[in-house]
Amino acid sequence: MNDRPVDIVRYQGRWPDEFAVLAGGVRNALGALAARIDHIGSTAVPGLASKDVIDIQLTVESFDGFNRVSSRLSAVGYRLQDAIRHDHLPPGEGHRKDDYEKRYFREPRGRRCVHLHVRAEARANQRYAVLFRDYLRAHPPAALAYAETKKRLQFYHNKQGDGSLYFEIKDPVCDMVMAPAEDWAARVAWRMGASDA
Amino acid sequence: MSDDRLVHIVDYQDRWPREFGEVSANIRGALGDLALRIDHIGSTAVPDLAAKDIIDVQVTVATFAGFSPIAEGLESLGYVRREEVRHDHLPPGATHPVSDYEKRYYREPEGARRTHIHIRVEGRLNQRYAILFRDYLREHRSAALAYEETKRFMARWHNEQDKGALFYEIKAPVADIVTSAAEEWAARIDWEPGDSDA
Repeated sequence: MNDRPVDIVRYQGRWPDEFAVLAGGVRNALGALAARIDHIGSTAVPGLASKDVIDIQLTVESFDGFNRVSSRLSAVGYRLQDAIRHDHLPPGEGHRKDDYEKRYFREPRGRRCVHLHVRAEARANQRYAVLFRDYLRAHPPAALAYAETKKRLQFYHNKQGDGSLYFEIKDPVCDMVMAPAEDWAARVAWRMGASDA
Repeated sequence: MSDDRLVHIVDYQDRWPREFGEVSANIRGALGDLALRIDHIGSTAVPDLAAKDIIDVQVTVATFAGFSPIAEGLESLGYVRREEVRHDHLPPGATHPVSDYEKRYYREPEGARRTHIHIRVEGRLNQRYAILFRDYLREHRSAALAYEETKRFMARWHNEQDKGALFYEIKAPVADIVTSAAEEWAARIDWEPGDSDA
């Protein structure tokens, strides 16, 4: 049994409601320091099986004024995971590490699991999260295959002693979703809609 | 040294199309008109894509009724039938009849280079799918690269931790991610299979 087991559950109708409450709290804490607050990740895709983790993307104008953002989030209990400063880079040429910079917080101690990703406006990783979500929402067969992939990753991950299998393989799998998502975005002239909170 | 349970993903090899050319010419010689198409499929058919060093060949036939002449033709070349393989995997949420995934499957003669011969029926879902999958990856470089990267990670975990079904079990829905996009592309451009490769 893995000591970091992954538990994929069926889609939960409560996820959007839980996001709304959490996002309201973040908005109150940050006011205009938050350029956007979006529900991202699999719990933001209706019908998709997922880990029971609410992923929130907080978009800031830049990381320059991050101290203020950080102290206000800390004040409402969010815990900065300072070791995490970047998302993984997709394969291939032309990806700059700067474009994948982030900051990362976890939920207040004892509260429901939340991953709060702080990314800067207009960087590749900030756009990635919202486009990924919108693509899966609009493409049920892709969402279904992605969910099935996660379930099988979960199975083998949990069999391992101490592996990070799920997390390692999931990164390029997400890039597999993103490749057609980018084509779709170009074709439909996709743009981010209004912020979720 | 070689362990059949391991999955080796190797860089693209220029010799793959030539190797396919030889294999397919022999099959054409043995089957004549019984083969409606003979196509190079799978990852070795996508230029510059890393893959397992296996030549995948799709032989398209009109029907599985009256299969014996086809079996005899392939067996005359030394190909070995894997009788237990009768279907491709069904994607999650599949709504098509199981017959749309039916196939027959042969392997290379003992000691010959590894070759997988998939025999499928013209116009069925799985026959069309193999060609579409290849054409989509040929035309969509970033999708191909992400697929390659995923396979490399799967192979590493497979070889280090599993040596069983891990690679194959995860690869099935991973390939369905590609297919979901490929199907959309096909509908958009009115994709049809081009000429047979041999």
